[in-house]
Amino acid sequence: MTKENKIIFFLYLILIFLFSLHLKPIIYQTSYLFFALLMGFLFFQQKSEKEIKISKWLIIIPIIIILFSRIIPLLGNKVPLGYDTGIYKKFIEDFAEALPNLPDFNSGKSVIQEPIGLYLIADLLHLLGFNGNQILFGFCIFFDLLLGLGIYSVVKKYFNLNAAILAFFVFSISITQFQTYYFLYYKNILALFLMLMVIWLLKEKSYLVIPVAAFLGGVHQMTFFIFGLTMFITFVFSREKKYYLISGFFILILAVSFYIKNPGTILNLLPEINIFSLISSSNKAYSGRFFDFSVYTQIAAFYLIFSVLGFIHLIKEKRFDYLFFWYLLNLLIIFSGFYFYNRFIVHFDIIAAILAGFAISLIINKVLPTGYGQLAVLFFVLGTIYFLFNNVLSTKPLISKEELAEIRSLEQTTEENAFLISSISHYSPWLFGYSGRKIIAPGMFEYDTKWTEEEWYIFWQTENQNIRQQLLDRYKRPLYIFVGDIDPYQLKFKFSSDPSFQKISQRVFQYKK
Amino acid sequence: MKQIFKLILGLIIISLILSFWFSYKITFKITFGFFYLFFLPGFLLFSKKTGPTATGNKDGIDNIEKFCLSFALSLSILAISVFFFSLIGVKITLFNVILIITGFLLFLIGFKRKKLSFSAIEGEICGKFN
Repeated sequence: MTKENKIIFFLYLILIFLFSLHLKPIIYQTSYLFFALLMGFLFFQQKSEKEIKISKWLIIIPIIIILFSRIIPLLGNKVPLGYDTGIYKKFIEDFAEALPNLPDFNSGKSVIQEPIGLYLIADLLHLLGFNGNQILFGFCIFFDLLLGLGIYSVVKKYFNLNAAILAFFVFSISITQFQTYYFLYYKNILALFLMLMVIWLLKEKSYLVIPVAAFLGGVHQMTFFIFGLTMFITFVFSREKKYYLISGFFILILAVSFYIKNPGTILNLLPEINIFSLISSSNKAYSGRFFDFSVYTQIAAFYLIFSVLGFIHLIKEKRFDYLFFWYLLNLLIIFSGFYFYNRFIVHFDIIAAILAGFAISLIINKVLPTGYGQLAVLFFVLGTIYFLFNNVLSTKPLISKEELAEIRSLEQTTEENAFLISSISHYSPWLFGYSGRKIIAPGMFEYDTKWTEEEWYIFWQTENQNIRQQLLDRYKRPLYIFVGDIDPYQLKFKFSSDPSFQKISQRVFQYKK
Repeated sequence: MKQIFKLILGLIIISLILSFWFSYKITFKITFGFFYLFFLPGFLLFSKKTGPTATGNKDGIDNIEKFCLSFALSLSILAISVFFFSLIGVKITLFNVILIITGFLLFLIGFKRKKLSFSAIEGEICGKFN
């Protein structure tokens, strides 16, 4: 090993060690470090003379894995998957009902707080004849597949065909990406696909990047943020400043214009994205609904090592391009505890798959010629597929069919002008999408205007009926509260012993006072 | 001519497969409409990039990359144009959207007439999986 390689190898070990700190139990951590060491040695060995060419037709494998893993959870489930499902359903319906116009953004509806890019596309699909469920689930699978093909395209553009197929495979077996689909982070999936196409076009120095990146801005702010940040840093270090300056300027103008009708969507976000107030890893309230980085390192352990190797390779080759800065900045965002930092794991996983695919393509040249190597690759492929499908088959919807049926029945059992309080945020999107009533939910939607965060905690935790009633009295009647099977504050018990509540069904109480 | 026939045949086959679930009228509207609105504008915009690129990737641009880029570009152009036309009062109907996209396609073809022949487009679309 040369002196330069030794330094880089040392840097690799530090990064791997930092990632391994999240792993438990100790036997898993030790095996991980051992595997990382082995891969590191293989990677830093002399370059193999024999270059293995992977058949392009192997692309069928990740396509099949994606289709199966995304369709299986839908089969036989009467309850839709996802967390944001209700929100998307409601907004897609709101936009479709408003056709041939856009919805009235001044009506006070919560549609005001949403970027409209996805719903414009949903409108067009609706005009072609697709129904809500096809747009919600069918197209989500289609966009997820496109995201995988987008990874293939970018890796092929930046590296080579072998790396592209392998990166696509890594994406297909990623549990993080499966979970993104499972939670139905629809905008996230579409935006990541657009971001990959933007990266492709940036490499080509094409001005066609302008419409795609601008539309990305109109679809998902978080993805646009990470794209913008990375593009800015790339611009700073790039020699071709003119291209970045012109395209960046027009991208920004066009992207912002998507918010002309609902500027509140951006303006409301600005006070929240205060770097000084939000960079705090302990601030769980702003972490975003997704698993944290310690869980991520557990489920992505087998390709995270390769992603570090890919990153190290970029440093070694002094390729400080878009992919390098994406990996670096994304990692910083997650570790600094920036706004919604857990949700940025989804973005990090994409760049991790990209770099992992490239690193694996380099190692595979050294490993595949031997029998043991072929066996190891076979184990790796089968093991990761098993690991993914174990997760897919154990996946259950986030609410029961009884809960959803009761939420759906609220349209018949409650008055049209009724307000409905969601007991906890877990049920808020479902109530929003399926109850047909005005939803008062903790920290969400347009009717949560009377209580502060502290008052929500008082509502949940107080044993004093008078205090709870005083809070509820701030809202107009008729007023109902949905308390689902997940009831951490034992509200069902509290309401049952309070005469001001009338139980109208198993999970719904009416506030009568 | 043979390639145009292949392309139309492909779309008809997709429509027929979909007709197991939907009516013929809907499937033909969906298949041809989806292709026309969500694929063709981006494809025409991007169609000049066919061979090995200036950035040195020896494999050139393959059909998967073209498909992804065409789709991303079409989505973006469609959403941007529909949004801005609706801002100036144009109603969002299928007829109007098709009209907007047809205008865009005619503009593109006219703009690139010297560089791009229709047979080249056919070749792109119907070309073999390389």
